[in-house]
Amino acid sequence: MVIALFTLMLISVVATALILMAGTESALKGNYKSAMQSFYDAKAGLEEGRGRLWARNPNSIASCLNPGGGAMMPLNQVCYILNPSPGEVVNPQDLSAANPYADNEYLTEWNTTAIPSGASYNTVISNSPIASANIAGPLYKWVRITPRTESSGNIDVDGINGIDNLNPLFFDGMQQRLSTNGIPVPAASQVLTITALAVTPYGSRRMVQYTVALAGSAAALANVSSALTLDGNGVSFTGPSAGTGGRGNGNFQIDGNDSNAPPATQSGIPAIGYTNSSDGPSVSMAATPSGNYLSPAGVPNVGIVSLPPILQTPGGLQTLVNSITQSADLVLSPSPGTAADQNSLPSAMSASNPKIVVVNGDFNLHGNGTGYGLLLVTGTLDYDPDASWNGLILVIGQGTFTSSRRGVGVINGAVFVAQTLDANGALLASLGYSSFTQTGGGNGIQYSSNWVKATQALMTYQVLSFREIPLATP
Amino acid sequence: MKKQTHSARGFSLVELLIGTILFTIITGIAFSLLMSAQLRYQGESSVTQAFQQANVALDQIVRDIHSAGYPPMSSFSAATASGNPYGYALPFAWTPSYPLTPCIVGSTCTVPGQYDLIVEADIGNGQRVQWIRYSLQGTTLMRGMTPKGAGDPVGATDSSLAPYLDNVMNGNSSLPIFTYTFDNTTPPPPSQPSFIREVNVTLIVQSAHPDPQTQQYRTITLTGQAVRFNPNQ
Repeated sequence: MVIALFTLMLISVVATALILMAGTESALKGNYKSAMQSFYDAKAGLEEGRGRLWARNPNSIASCLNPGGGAMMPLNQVCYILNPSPGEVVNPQDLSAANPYADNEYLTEWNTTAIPSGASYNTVISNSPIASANIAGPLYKWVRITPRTESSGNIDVDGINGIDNLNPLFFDGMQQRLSTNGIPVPAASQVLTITALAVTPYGSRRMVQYTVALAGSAAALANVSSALTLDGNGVSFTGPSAGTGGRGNGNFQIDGNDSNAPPATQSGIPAIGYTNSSDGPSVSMAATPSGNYLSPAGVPNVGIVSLPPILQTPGGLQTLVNSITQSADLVLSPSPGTAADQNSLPSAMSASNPKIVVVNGDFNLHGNGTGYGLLLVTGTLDYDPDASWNGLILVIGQGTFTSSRRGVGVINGAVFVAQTLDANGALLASLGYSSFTQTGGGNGIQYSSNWVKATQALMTYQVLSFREIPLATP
Repeated sequence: MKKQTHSARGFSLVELLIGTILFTIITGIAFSLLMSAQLRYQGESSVTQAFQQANVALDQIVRDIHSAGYPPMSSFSAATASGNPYGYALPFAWTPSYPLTPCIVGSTCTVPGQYDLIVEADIGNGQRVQWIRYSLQGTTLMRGMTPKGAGDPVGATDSSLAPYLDNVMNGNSSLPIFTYTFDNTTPPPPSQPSFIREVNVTLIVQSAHPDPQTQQYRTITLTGQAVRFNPNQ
């Protein structure tokens, strides 16, 4: 009897030790898994925030960010996307120690003691859970979106007067820039900060942060300088000679008058703009008959234009190409020596559903159809003016636009041509000689501010930076 | 006359002998079981400890790489960035010829290498942009951190290196700790440090003590995939 009890006791000790050991290992792996899960949950929150910033998102949060609908998100505005579990209350504004979801990070970033309230505090509910499919969605608790300032980012952007929360930051496609006196930086997009907190049932907490701005320097694109911009040095322009109009061949014009200007008013831009003054005489001489090149009163028909920094260098333009590509609905990459054509364009493209199409190579815009949105071609664009395009056409790369056929099509919007690559596809040290040739006919280019702006709305928000914010209890 | 019963007779010498032998055998088995379990517990504890330490190290490496390149140069105006090159972070520092001439990973780069990596990031510790270096020296993975500055990042971080994870056997196994995946763009970018998009981390860690039963050291292998989220510069 004694022996049996003694043996049982020993075996119990052994079993207990084994159970403890297994439990320790399980806890270790559980903690690691929970920490990883909370990180990716928080990352999912960032992506929901970034996605819903997009103007074309069906669940856009534009009104949460900017209820007044102004040009930029006010400094005192804060927008939260809340994602409570069933039966749970998530209130980041409650800064009591008992609230596990308190947003104390806001206080740190904005050097304040309270989160804005009233009209400055807006919330929307996350759309990541799909109740109908019984999908709970990632376990982030809230996502906060605020304007970016020097103080909130803890970065002295301009190196002057330290950091403060007085002026929002903007992104010109290459650098962040500090606005002054509440006036947006021209040709730049406002920088926003997206912060997300995730807390798992195990108690793991991770907080991550994006800074974002509209991709592709959309603001720079929306402020085009001329109906046809020839960017670079030694650019060339060739238009149809007199007498090519009529008889189904259109009336070629490059018209800088804004077709969307209010009735009885005139506004617009030059018909043709170039960036190097030494190109002025040759471009002006080629732009004949002068009646084909129109602009509002007081604006030169053909003249030198000033472009944002991102459009002034091959590197900047390549950055633009890369970010547009990231937002593209369709990227075509024809084999060397071949060209993609209009048959590859998205069938769903329409006036109400414009698209971003990027062609890494040559493209033939032929046929009788109409395209809508932003067309970016890195090779040669061959245009048959039977076709039309509403929006922006960017020929950045080889920088060659050719058209020799007849037709009555028109480009409503603007065209931008720049040579950034050599014949082998290598980036040039400085901008080359972009070329625009349309000798056949067609109705030319009609500047339309609405179509140009419509392309801005196609741009998604790009990530400018990412960081994880250390928490006291990770 | 009263009859004498057997129960009062007691144990015979043979019975006692058999009982003692049985007791010895049973307790011997029990103790050997206990001893075996204890040895196994010691062995597993050693492995668990190694796993935990490797886990923490791997998690830290992955976190650092996630933040590599924060804040990017684009966070500053052009004039500020050019006037303060230590205020922004490239994703990864390199040697030789830092920062003027990018090297080729796997070819001309000494760092980043298979056993040496330097991350540039502001990790929110109030120290601004840091060079955070991981370097395998013998069987010890070292970690060091120093503010980003002028000169060669390897030389600058050498003095800050401190033991971070012991008994790392990647060197002995000729299995790299760090392998790199570059941006997937068309055309593919050069294999330069600035285009590293993912760092695959593999840690082979040996237990601190040999297994008491087999007298063999046990190893565990942890792998992690760390993505750099900050954009190219």
